[in-house]
Amino acid sequence: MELDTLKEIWQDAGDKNERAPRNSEIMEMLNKSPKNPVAKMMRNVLIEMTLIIVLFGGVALFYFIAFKGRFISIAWVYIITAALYVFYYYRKWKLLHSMQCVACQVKSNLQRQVNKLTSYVRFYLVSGTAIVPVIFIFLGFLFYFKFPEGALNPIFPPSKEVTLFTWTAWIVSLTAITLFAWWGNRYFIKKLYGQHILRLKELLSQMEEA
Amino acid sequence: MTQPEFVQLIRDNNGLILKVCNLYTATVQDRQDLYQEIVIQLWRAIPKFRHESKLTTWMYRVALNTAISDYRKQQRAIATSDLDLFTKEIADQAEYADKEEKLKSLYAAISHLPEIEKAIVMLYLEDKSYEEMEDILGINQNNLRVKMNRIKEKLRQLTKAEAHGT
Repeated sequence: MELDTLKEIWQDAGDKNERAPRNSEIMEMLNKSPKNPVAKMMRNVLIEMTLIIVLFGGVALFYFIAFKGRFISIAWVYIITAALYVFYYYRKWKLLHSMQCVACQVKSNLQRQVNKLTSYVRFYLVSGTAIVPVIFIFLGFLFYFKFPEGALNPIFPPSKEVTLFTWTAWIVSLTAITLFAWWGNRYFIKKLYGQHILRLKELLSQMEEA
Repeated sequence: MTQPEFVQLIRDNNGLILKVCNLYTATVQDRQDLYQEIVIQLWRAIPKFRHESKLTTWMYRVALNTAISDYRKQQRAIATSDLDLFTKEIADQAEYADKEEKLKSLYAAISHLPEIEKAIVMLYLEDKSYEEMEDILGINQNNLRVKMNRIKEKLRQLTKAEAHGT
């Protein structure tokens, strides 16, 4: 197969063998949403953020109104957590937004995608893991100071009864939960983005090999 | 650019988009999906087109970026391709030697190349200069020449192997 002899046939192809879409069909396409992975991830981020705002906002509102305002602090916990999540999703969305440059050279677009997706995954892992102990500690403090002394004994014993064992138990459970969150996040990240990152790297190495 | 102007642009360059779609997909449905995706990406990117390169160069970038890095279905298309079927088509080509058959065989041959080599060979067949290929792909011209020679050799060897029945 000599490529040079096939150039003419190739250049004639495309227009002849398949009909061009009608104007109305092209117009219709312009109103559709893109289906590429990054566009899907951006949509998912927006959906997740909306869900968090609605759910956490609803629960916070409930605690503001119910129990004659005795649990307003819990409502604030939800609002602060929701705010942390909004920041988290905003950062994710921004990274995804900067990931695409379809009009750039193919190689630089691939390089950009690898870099941004790696940052995205790192951010996902670090923040997704860190948020767990932060909320855990926050709730711990809240319950400790909110409930009457000894009401939640032995999880939150009165301060005079806090022993080395209590501290150790807290630190061990906190570490275990954090490790579990890290492992879970890592598993999901690998499942969601692992293959895609590998594929992008493989494409990039195809371009770089001489 | 207004919608009717953009529609005309797509119609004028329909062949360019179709060739990218044909190279990177295996089924009619995937082809239609990729065509639509490329049109959407072109429509979204056109306001940022600054005439720093030729319009077709810019369109090739968008189309190839969409097909290569943003579109996942192509992996399935590559996985389902069959080398035996390809070599059979090459043999048939000698027998029927008609343009349609040659074109089919050419597509079949290229479908066995890795994604980046597909893009290189397509631009080569489109008679793009190495300079323009570099502008689209971002691979330097020397490297492109080396790769192109390797691709030609790959295709030649596949044909030869079939001719010898191995």
